[in-house]
Amino acid sequence: MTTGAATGPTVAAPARGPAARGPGFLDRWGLALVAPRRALARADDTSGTGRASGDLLRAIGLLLVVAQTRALVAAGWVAVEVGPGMAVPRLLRALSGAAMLTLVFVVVAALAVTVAAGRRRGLSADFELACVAALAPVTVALAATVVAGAVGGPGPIGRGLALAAALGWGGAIAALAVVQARSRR
Amino acid sequence: MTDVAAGEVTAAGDGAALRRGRQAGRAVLALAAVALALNLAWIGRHLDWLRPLEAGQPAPAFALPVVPIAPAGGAAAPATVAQVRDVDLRGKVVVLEFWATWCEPCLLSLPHLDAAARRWGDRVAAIAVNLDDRAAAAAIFARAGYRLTLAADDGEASVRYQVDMLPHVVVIDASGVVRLVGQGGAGVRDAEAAVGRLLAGE
Repeated sequence: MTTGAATGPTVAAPARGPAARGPGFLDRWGLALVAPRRALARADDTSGTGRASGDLLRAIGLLLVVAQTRALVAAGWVAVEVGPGMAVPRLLRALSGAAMLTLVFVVVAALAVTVAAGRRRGLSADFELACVAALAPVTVALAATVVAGAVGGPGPIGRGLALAAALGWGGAIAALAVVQARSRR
Repeated sequence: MTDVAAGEVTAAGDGAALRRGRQAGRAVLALAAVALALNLAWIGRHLDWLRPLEAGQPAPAFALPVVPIAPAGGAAAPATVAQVRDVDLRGKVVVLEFWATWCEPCLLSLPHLDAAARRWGDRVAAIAVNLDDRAAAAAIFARAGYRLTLAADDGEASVRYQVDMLPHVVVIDASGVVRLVGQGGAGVRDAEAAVGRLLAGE
């Protein structure tokens, strides 16, 4: 009789590369964009509960700093010259400008996934899936900031195109989220 | 194929997706860096535009295209002037109201500004600066019969006058100094009071 250490099935060597290290925040963001099914499967894994929502918060924070830089500088200047009280409404408007569309999207998407998931629904897990889908609108907003900065302002047509791209892309990933939710055991 | 072999295939596939995801994540980071750099470059060139606009400061310059207004059902007549500029209005009190066609409080405040402008006469230049849709703005003015000067934002004025909430009203005295910056319906009412005080010589 031999010990298990000497015999038994050969265990595959641990995978090297990104799969072994575990994806970081930016990796998960990129995964949501280029391999949304895998990103959704990871988000639906209960061992990572809360990671997708945390990623979305970080993404919104990045968008706030990058897209609302002028508003933040102006608010800071107001806080110093006029008073912090006068800066708060400006800061709130900057935050609203950066986050409003994304937050509305994630709430609507989460509700849609929950309703469509039927008996396999789970509001927290469905919200995580919606957070993965919401990374697409945030990405579009980043790209729109670059375009606006380069050409001096988007104009109504540009804003319309950006909105359509954000909702279309995010909506497509939200549809995959529904598939993911309905495939739960 | 054993479970181990199947797991290897799955791990390899997952690894490939994660590599693509990492590349995409780096692209997102690069996008964010470019956006931030563009914004910082703009701030470096226009830092004075971000200075808080307060009463007592010189009013930022403006040169706004005038939007011609057609009488209801008629064709638009050419505007008497193509542009309205701050330098041409020296000696007059100027009221700038920044507004948008989708802004309900703006639409409610315009009649009050129009009525006030008719009382003030030629001593005051009351200018309604539209931010979104010139054609829709002209149609609103034509239907309502406003006598206000309708101008369109050139992208600079709204930034230099720090418009972030609508309606946004600025009162400038005859020597080009800002006397009031107001927002919302209350801002419009305060502007009317401020103009009254300026005209009374206070």
